[in-house]
Amino acid sequence: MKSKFKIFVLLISVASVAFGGGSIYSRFGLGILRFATVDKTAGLGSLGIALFDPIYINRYNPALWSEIARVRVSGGYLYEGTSLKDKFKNTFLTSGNFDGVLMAIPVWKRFGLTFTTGFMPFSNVNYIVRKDSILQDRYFSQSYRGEGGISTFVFGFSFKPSSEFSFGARLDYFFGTITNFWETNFGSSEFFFSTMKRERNYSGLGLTVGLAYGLGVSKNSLTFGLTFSSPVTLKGTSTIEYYLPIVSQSTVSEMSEFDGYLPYRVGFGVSYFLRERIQASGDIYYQNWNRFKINGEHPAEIKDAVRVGTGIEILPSREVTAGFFQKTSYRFGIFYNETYLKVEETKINELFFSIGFGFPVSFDTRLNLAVEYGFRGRVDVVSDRVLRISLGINTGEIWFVKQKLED
Amino acid sequence: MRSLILFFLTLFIIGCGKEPNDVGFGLLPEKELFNVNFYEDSIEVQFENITSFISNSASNYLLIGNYDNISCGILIRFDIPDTLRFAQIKSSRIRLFKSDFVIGDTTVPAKFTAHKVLSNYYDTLYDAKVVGEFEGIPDSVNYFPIDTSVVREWFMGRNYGLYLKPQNNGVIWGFKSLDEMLFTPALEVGIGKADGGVDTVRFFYGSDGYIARSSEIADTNNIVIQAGVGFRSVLKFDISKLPKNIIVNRAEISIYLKEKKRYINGTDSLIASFITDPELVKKSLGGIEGNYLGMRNPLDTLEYTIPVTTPVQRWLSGEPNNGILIRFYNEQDNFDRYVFYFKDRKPKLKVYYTTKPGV
Repeated sequence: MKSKFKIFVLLISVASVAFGGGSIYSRFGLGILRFATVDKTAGLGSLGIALFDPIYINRYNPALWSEIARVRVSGGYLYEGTSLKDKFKNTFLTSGNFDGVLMAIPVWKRFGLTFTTGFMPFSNVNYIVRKDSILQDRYFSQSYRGEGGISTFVFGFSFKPSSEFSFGARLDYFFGTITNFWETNFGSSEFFFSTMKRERNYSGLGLTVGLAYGLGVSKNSLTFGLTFSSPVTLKGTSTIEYYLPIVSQSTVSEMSEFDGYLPYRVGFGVSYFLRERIQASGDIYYQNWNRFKINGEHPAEIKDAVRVGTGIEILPSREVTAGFFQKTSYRFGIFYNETYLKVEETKINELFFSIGFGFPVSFDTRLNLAVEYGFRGRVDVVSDRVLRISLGINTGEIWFVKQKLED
Repeated sequence: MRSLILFFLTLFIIGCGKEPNDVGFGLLPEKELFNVNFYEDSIEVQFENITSFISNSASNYLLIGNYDNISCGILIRFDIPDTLRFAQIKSSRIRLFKSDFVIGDTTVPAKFTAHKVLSNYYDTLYDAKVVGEFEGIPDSVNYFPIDTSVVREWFMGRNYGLYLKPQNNGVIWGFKSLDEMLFTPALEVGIGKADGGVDTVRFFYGSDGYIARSSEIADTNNIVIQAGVGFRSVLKFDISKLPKNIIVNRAEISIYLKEKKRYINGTDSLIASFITDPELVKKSLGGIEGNYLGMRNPLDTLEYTIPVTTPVQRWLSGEPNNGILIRFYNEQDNFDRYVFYFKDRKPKLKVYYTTKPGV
């Protein structure tokens, strides 16, 4: 218990450090869309629509919560380093984020009734661009920065009417703020610096349903998973604030309301036990972003997105008496993501490779470490090389079980 | 221990980041950029020289004399308690201490006559009758007698003070004022006692100041500002060619020196103010806001630049463009006179501004 506490404190302390920047592509749409980048999925190509085990809270498919054996909490921290490059220059920007937390409470194991709640990131905006220029022999620097993103608060359940079939549903409450900053700095106190800030607060309610069929864990067992997330009507307020060199009205605020339409997303996955404790899985996930709208208009740079990926997890032993490395899970994955962005008539695609480990910390706790490395975009637009290191904790406790008293 | 290693490893990774640069700048949509622009105008500009009243009541000096086209006289009034209404006045004189201020020919003596002020102290409406006079090269302490009948009137409560009128030419002498902590002016009155003796009573509280005027005729071709005598100028630029919805990063006015005359070594700077009410400005009753310090361009001995960022932003935000008032940084105890070109070399307005993105 003491070690779990230490790890949580560590994660929270690191998560509280605000810093850095990331891909310029996060400036478009709602930012870089996030997939499950902590927990076991991080090492498996960020997929898992048909992925299950008794200690894993699936972030894609609520039907698979039915397999959770005990009350579980999982959360994590993600470090991301992005090397941005165009035809002339490059830079390397880093950022760190708390990557959500989920809690699953199995209530009726026989029918796989498990309630789950928590927070998950949906998108992330984190970019900074700075350009130096000269006008009439005066130096000035412009910077454009964005931060924030959209998260979801989820609450749902799973139900397993038969040993081979389960279904689940969850409510997704979308919320978050995306803030953009503009600044012109002349590097001299004789000049008034232009600064402007736009804050957009989003909120909306959606529903995700999932199905799973198979659910066997022996050799050659095959499981299929299907998820569907409903369209979401986003509402929010947009506040623009800028400053003028006038004492009486130095801050000018303009507020307006806006709405948006987040289209449906659908995914299909399959997992297969090559041998006992060796699970391979694959996903395809489609998002209908062609119908995305903000204030009734579809941004030209947004298009449909498709992601495919595959991964394999090897767990040498589950025996309590086995050695540390025998009880460690080893994961490998790859995914290709045709993102929802099309910038300067170029589709922005991603290819990521991942490797991950699930270290046994104590009897029912795993520390998941994953490293992902991937490519996004093309150098004739901007090419990103992304390194992600995620650290997640997944821990469980027995609830609702009566303890027997010994004489 | 493992936690600590992990923590420091994370910090190490974080520390690998570089400074952001312009990679990706080209992807930002044009309409979402801050556009930085420059505007310059030296055509749509008007000016008007005006004469203002400069209050010198807080000065440590009382200046008197005539020099060049400048004429200085002194107003002074001593506070007298009404307990002396029926005192027997045997003599009266005024004491003045010489100050270090003098401009002009110091061999020319100070010469002035004293006149009773007839009504309000500030109206400088004075009686032509001379009630006292002084002539001489000022010593460290100087006295001149005052008609006792005038002092009697002051004792009776009709006290509007004295006006000291200059009668010389070629020099302006300075005496210490009531605002000096030591060596202040004083009214010394000899009061007769019942035993035939005389007590001297000294009054050294009251009000004083000097009034400086210039006989110069207003110049309509050049911008003239002169300290002390209240020569100021109103400059007005037409900014209608600037876009409305902008952030002014820097606005400055350049004016070009034609000639200057300096009397004492003071600060070589100007002050500009935003005019809220032009009528009040002309009546010297206010109507201005803000003090923006204008200085000589160190690389160009003729160019003076005055920052007017806030005034230009205020005009663009819809406030009436009444121009700006230009005057000397130090208008008191100083008669420096600067003439700036107008017709032959127009003042310039330069504005660096940012157009807000259309988001």
